[in-house]
Amino acid sequence: MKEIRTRPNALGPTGWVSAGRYKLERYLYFLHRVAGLGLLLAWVIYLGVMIATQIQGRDIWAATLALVHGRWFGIVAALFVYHSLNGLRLGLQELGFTLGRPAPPVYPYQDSLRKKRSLTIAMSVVSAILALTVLYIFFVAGVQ
Amino acid sequence: MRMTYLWLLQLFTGGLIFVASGIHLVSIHLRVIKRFFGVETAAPVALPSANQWAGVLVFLSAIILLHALIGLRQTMLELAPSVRSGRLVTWAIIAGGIILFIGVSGLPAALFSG
Amino acid sequence: MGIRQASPERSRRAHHEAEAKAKPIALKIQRYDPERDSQPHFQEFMVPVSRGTTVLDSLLYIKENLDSTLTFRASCRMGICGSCGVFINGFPYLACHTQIEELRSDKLTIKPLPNLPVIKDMVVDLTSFFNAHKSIKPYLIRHDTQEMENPTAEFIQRPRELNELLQFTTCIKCGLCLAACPTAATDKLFLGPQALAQCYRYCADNRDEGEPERLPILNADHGIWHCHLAGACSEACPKGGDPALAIQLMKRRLVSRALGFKGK
Repeated sequence: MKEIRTRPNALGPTGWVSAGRYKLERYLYFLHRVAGLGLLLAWVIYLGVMIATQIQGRDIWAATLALVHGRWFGIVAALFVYHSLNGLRLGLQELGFTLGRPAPPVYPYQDSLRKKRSLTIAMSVVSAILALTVLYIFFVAGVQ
Repeated sequence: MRMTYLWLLQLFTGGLIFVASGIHLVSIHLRVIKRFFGVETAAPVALPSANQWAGVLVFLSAIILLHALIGLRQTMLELAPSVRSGRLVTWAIIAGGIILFIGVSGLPAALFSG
Repeated sequence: MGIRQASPERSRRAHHEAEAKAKPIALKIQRYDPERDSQPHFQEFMVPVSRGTTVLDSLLYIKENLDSTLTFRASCRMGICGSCGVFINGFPYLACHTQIEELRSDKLTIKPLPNLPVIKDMVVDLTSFFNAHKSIKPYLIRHDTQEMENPTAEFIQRPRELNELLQFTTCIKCGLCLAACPTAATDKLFLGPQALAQCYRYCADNRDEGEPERLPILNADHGIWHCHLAGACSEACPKGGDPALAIQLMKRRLVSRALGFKGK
């Protein structure tokens, strides 16, 4: 029998963010990943700066204060707010809580994530408000 | 059940980070937050002792490392094309985590030794 | 009394009248012939569409009247076999189950399902999909061999026990959930929402005793914990099967087992 040659058709990492017309939860998942990786990167940079400061014999405490009062820390704090609130939601939902019970599907079908959307919407709204507040504090109001 | 235990560890450390870092962030910026809401504070916030700070930093860093590196491993494994590259990723992350933790543990000692 | 059948002339007239009422719609279809093309390319067709025309009807119209080389899978044409999954205007659908009117667009872009290798045109290779399904042992596993081989009575299943899994038995293995899954976009070794949901269907079945045998597959590196609840699989499922719910319920069973709360 003739061997079937196939062409790879996986979307790759672009499939995480731009794969079609999907609803909110898919993008919350991608944003959660971006926030987590961003926080890890910020933390590694923070460590690197502190170690460099120590090697140079400068005052680490003053360097720490200067770093965390910089505007970039507002972005870190906003990412932290989103990642932690979404993480709380995911922790609950991945353990099967707040998703309801299985029920025979009745057309038009509505899946559990959309039927029990209040937690997701509440989390999104609260984290948006808190993240914007944090960004305002650091970028507009100024940190001293 | 290894992956299940890893996930539970990530959930547990995530909860700890949420509580501990939230308190840490708020307490550090308490004066700024109070000023934003129109409450002026005359005296500066009292800082804990050096030993307490060192302990907090090491503890926070350990749980941050655990949580972040388990998450990083999950992301990297999705991009790894084979089981073998997945194992390489896992060992690289473990090695990186150990190095980072040593660096993190040394910092508080240097920070508060002077 | 005989049955009056429409004369061929009358049928032809009715067909032409229907075509005259139909408005044309542009279908931009991704073509790929491995024997001729190095890259996929798009080809546009104008297709008459009237009320009730499904995407499958349009594809069949193209094949019968415009380009007989157009290749796609279809069988039951009533949304039960799961053969005709395609990607239309950025979302996976069953072609037979999707009326063109409901897409509310004058131009449709039709591609093969993503995250599955393409054989030709709309036809994708479902081998890895079915292998993942096989790997989770999608059958009732029991240890009372004597009863299995020489049954003395039926296995009892109460209505409330059936309700725990009935929703997930509607799976038609169409592959739309895998096409929608963001993890499957990068992770070739991921089991996929369909296999994981079906794993729950069997583990949750009170007649099944095979959960311990399925645990190593679920707990593997590219198993259930690579699902991060994007929920796209449940959005895409054309039968309301809600694979995302099944997967999270399966995670709960695994966590209960890990913490020593329950197991069978």
